[in-house]
This record gives sequence, structure tokens and C-alpha cells, in this order.
Amino acid sequence: MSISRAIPLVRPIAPRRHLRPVESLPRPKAVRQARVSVITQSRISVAKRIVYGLIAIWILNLIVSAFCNTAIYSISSLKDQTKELATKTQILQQQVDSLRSPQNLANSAKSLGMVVNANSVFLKISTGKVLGAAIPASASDSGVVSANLIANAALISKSNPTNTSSTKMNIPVTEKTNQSVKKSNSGYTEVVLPSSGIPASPTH
Amino acid sequence: MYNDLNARRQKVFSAIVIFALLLFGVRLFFFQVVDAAEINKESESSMLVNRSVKAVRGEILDSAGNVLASTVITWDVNIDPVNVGPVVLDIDGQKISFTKEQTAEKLAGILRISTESILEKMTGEGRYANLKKSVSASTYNTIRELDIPWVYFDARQSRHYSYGAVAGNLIGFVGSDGSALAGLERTMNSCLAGSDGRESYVQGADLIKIPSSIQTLVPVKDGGDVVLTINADLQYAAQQEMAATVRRLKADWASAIVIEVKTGRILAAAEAPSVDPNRPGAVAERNRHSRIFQTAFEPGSILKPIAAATAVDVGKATPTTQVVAPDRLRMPWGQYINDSENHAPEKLTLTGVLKNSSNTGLVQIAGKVDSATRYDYMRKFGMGEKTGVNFEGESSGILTDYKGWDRMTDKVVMFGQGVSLTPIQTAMIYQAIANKGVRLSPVLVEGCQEKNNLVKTAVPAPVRVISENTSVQTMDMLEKVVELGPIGKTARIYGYRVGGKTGTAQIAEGSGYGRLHAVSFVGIAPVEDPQFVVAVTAYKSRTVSNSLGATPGFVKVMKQVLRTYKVPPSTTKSKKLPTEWK
Repeated sequence: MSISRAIPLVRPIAPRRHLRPVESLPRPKAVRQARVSVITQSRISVAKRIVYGLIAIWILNLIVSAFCNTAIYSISSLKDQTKELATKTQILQQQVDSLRSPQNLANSAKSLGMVVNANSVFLKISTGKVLGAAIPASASDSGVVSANLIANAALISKSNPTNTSSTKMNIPVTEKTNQSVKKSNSGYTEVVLPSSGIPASPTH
Repeated sequence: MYNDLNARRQKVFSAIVIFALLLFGVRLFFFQVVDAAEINKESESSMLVNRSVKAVRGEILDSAGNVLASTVITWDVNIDPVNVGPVVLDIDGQKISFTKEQTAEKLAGILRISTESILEKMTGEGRYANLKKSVSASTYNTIRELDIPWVYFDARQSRHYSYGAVAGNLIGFVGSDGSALAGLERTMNSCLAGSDGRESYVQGADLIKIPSSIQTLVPVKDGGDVVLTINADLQYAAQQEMAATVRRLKADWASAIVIEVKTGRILAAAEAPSVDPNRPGAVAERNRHSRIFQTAFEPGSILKPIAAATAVDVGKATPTTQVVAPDRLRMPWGQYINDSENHAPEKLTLTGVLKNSSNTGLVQIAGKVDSATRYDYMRKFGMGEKTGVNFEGESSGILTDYKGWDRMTDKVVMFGQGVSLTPIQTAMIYQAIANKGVRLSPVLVEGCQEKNNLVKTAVPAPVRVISENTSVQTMDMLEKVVELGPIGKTARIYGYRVGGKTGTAQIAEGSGYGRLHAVSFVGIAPVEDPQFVVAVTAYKSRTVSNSLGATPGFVKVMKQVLRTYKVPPSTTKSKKLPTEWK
């Protein structure tokens, strides 16, 4: 083969140039291995994160579950306490109801020898006029409080007006009482107001 | 060669593992998808609790808010006979062994039942035997603290009446199952009962309720509170007085009603004997209801002011109309009308007729009014019909149509025979007279209160019965009864102007009248500004056969009313009215 055959006589038209995507060049094996290694490491990292995440969620779940269980038992325990307190409240309320019932009060008044004064006297503020006659109450005027005649099966507690210890009121008694007031030996409870004023009523 | 074998083994092993995984996967698919609903249902049925939530029954309160009836928890004390045996009890910090018999004795002491009955219940093969129902909280606590392993409790709602028999006949009571049986407990049941709810929740193995699982299926609605017009302290005082009256007169029963004139509110409706709703079985069945609303009887002379007021209102008479009243008056057809006592003919005014409670005088004056008109007035005064108080089993009394009256009935109805009234009807007649002639319906229940919202009870419209002028004239006449009347005088209250009327009614027995009487007194105070009506009746009095049996009770109750409501003494004097003429 001569060289002339090898060289075309007519100069070939140069191919039209245009943009084309860059083809990936074959990479060397080392580069490919490195690339695979990076991808693998990245995937392992994601997998690790997922696993850690799952473990974290599982642990969190355990913790929440433990807290919930504790809370459930706490609630249950508190409910039991509430029931016990409600029972105690009921017992105390029934004692209070008994003590304040008219039957108990009538018997207490009777035992103290109290009399009803049927002759009320009124003072008319606008005129200063006294209405009614101030007649002292007397036992002879059938004013002695009659003993209770009305049944009450719910009467579980009774007052003992002659027993000072049972009627002692829970109001702080200061040492600095008015000494000029003669102390009573009749068994009635002496009530001394605190210096801060009249205590609020514990009832509603 | 070795590598090939190893590779083959690996493949076989992998295949087995994959196959096993596939099997598990398929089974899991069945568990999770195909049979999921059924499995869930089975699971839930073992843990899910679906239960009724009992509504709390409302309270009954008096006008001041005092609780007359409330709901409390009580406990049924049960044992498990199979497990009954000796126990070690903690008594005051010391561990003491108790035999079965000793434990039974201890329980019997606390429960106040016989040891034998407990021992009998202990010997059985069952898992349940009830020792006592509805024990109180303190008894429950005492037994619970013993910590006996084979004793257990069932909580239940019970009614508690802290005032006992105060207003017991009005309040009524409930049965052991909580059903309303009598009185306001029954009448007002729609307000008190509420409605039960329903909830479901998941329960743990140790019976712990899982809070997040609670689902309200039907919301529970607790009952409302019934607010009464009754003043409990006044009610107690009136009941005390009626109990004393029954003792003094050896009467079958006695009642006292206190009405607020301008509102018709019943402030007290006291009866003796009375029932303690905590233990209704402790009294005879006849004493468990309210006679004030449910028992009608011939009222007697207490009805005379109606006839007098009618005659005045229609212009046939005035308080000074004159009449000659013999002790025995012959009727044109030959029968006689008698006064309660023999006396010479008396020259009385209409006021004097009421003062002396003269039958013959009244028949002559009020008889000038025709029967139809008198009947019409009696109807307007509320006779023959229920008062509108809406109390269960209320009696309307008896007032037959005037067209059915024979000649004698036409006369005797004027002084309270041939008709019957309940004590509340009688009291409301006087309320009408005192309230410028306008009759109101009695009010016992203020309303139903739910969450601080009081829904007031509907009240029938007021009825104009007589004119205001007639009302004033009738009040003046009634005041003379107390001021000058032989028995009426015993109803005076120092410092107050009081009007009223006595009544001694014969009690029908068979075809005639019995030996015993119903003695009454109805009074109004203060006359210058009527505020309260007090009506006292003692039925079948055995020691006093006239109104002298009723006036002491009236005086005490009215005094208590005036004191309670701080009514100042009267400052005016009664009108001058002649009771006799010459």
C-alpha cells in the first residue's frame, strides 16, 4: 500500500462541530475502588444512623413506658388515697352533722338548763323606739327547752356540754388575756380572740 | 473442590433460612392482617372493662341550705366462706392470733349482729356470704383496719338524713336498692335521680385502670338538688311542739303548718308521730306519710269564716249584722241544728257569732246566701280540689256539688260538716283571707337546682276569692275571736295582734259520728299586716275535747315564727266591733 492511497486526494470536509455531553472516561481501578468505598461508607453511616435512631426510639419508648407505668400506679395509689380521705371526710361530716342537728342542740340546751325567752324586744333605729316588753325569760313561763322528742337514727355523736375538754374550741388563746375579766368556773369554754382580729369561720 | 462444597452448603442453608423467614412472614401476615380483628377482640375482651357509672342522687335542702337528705357511700360487708380460717390481727400494734370463732365474735361486736349468724355464714362452700348491708364509713374503717383476708366490701350509694325525723314525713325515703318510695324523694325523683353513664377502659393484669384508655360511652349526669321552702329549725320546733301535743292530749296525731301569707310558701309542715327516713321501718306504716297533704277530714267550725266572708262579700251581711242565736234551732222541715253547749238565746252580731262559734247564729246569717253562691265561694277558697303543691298522693278533700246537698247538708256545710279538707287546704283558706282575699297555691318546693342554677317550681295562678274590703272585715272579726272568745283568748300572744278561729270537729265513724274530736286552731299574725298563718290540729284528742287542746300548740309555734322572722310587736290596736246587741 502506497502512501498516496493512504492520503486521500480530496481533502475531507471537516465535521461540523457541536456540543455533546462529556462522556465519562474510563477510570482507573483504584479510583473506582475508592469510589465504591466512599459509597459503602456513606451507606453504612446512614444505616448506622437508622439503627441508632431505632435504638434511641426504643430506649425512649422504654423510658416513656416506664414513666407511664409508674404514673399509672401513682394515679391508682392517689385514687386509693382519695377514697380513704373521702371515707374519713364522710365520717367527720357525719359527726359534724350529728353535733349540729337540732336534736343534739336541744338536748344540750336542756342539759344546760337553758330557757327560751319568748318576749323579743326590738329597737326601731329610725325613731329609737323600743318595741315590746323586756321581760326576762323564766322557767315558769314554760320556756324551759324541752328535751328532744324527734327521732334521729343518724345521731352518732352527742355533745357533752359539761365536759370542757370535748368542747374546747381550737382558737389560739394568748397569755395576754384581759385579767380583769373574772374567769368562769362553770365549765363553759372561754374564747379569747387573737390579736389579729376575729378568726374567719371554718364553715361555709 | 472444598470451596464448591462449602458454597453449596451455604446456598442450602440460605434457602432454608429464606424459607423459614417466608413461613414466619406468611404467619405474621395472618396475625397482623387476616386475623387481626379477631385477635384484637380476644385481647380486648380479657382486658377491656365496660361498666356503668352510677349517677349521684341530689340533695334535699331547706330554705337556708341545710342538707336534709344527702347521698353517702356505705359498704356491704361480705366474706369468702371457702377461705375462712384463723387470722392474725393487729390489735393496738400487737399481733394477736384469732381463731375463726374469735374472729366471728369480734366482727359480731362491730357489726352488732349475733356471732351465731356469722358462724353459720362462715360454713359454706360458696365464695360469697353477706354479713351486713350498708354499714357506715366508721364501721367500714374499723373492719378494714383489721385486715382480715377473707372479708371484703362492696361500696354502694345510700341516703343519709342528718336531721332524722325533722321533715321526715315530707322528705319521704328510698328503699335499700335506692328506689324512691315516698314523699319528696319520690315526687321529685326526676330532679334528684340524674342518669347513669357508661364508660370503658383497659385494665391491667393487677386490675389497674389504664388512664389513657378510659372512654366515656355515655356521660353520667348527677342528680340535681331539691330546695325546699321549709325552715328546718322552725320545722323542728313545730314538730317538738306537736309531739308534746300528742302526748298531752293522747291524740292519734297532731299537725302544725306555717304559711307565709304573701307568698304561699310553707315554712313548716310538722307532724307527730313522724318518721325518721333513716329508719322508716321503726314506725307504723300509717305514720310514714304526710297527713297534712294526704288526710282529709271534716274540719268543723274552723270553716265558719268562709260562710261569714261569703255573706259579707255578697252584701248579705256585715260584721255587725244582728241575729238571735238559740242553742237549738228548729229547721222548717223539723230537724234541729244545735250549738255545742246549752245556753239561753244570745243576741249576737256576725262577729259575735264567730267569737262564740255559734252554729245557729251562722246558719241564720250565712243562710241568706243561696246554695249555688256559697258553693261557688267554697270552690274559690280551694275546697274540693288539690292545692297545686304537687305532693304525691295529695287528697283533694270532698266537696260535693250543691245540687246534691240535701236540706240538712245545705246548712251544716256552713260550719264544716258534710265536707272534708286536708290540713293544708284549711291553712290556705286562711292564707286567702289574710292575703287581701287572694288565694295562692302553697309552695313546698322552691325548685330544682342544677349546678347553681335554680329552676323554680311552676306555681298555679293566684285566685281572687273575696274583695280586699271583705278580707279586712273578716280579719277584724277573727281578731275578736282571739281577743274576746272564750277559747280564742287562750291563743293570745303578748304584744301582737292575732286573729284566728277555733274548731272542734266531730269525726265520722260508720254512718254517724264518734266520741272523739279533731280539735283545731288556725291563727294569723300580726293582724295589722298579716304575715303568717299557723294551723294546728290534734286528731282524736282524748284528754281535751275542744280547741283548748290546740291553742297552746298554736301559741308556741306562732311565737317561734314571730321570733324567727323578727316580727316586731304590734303598735296599733284592734278595731272596735260589737259582738252583741241589745
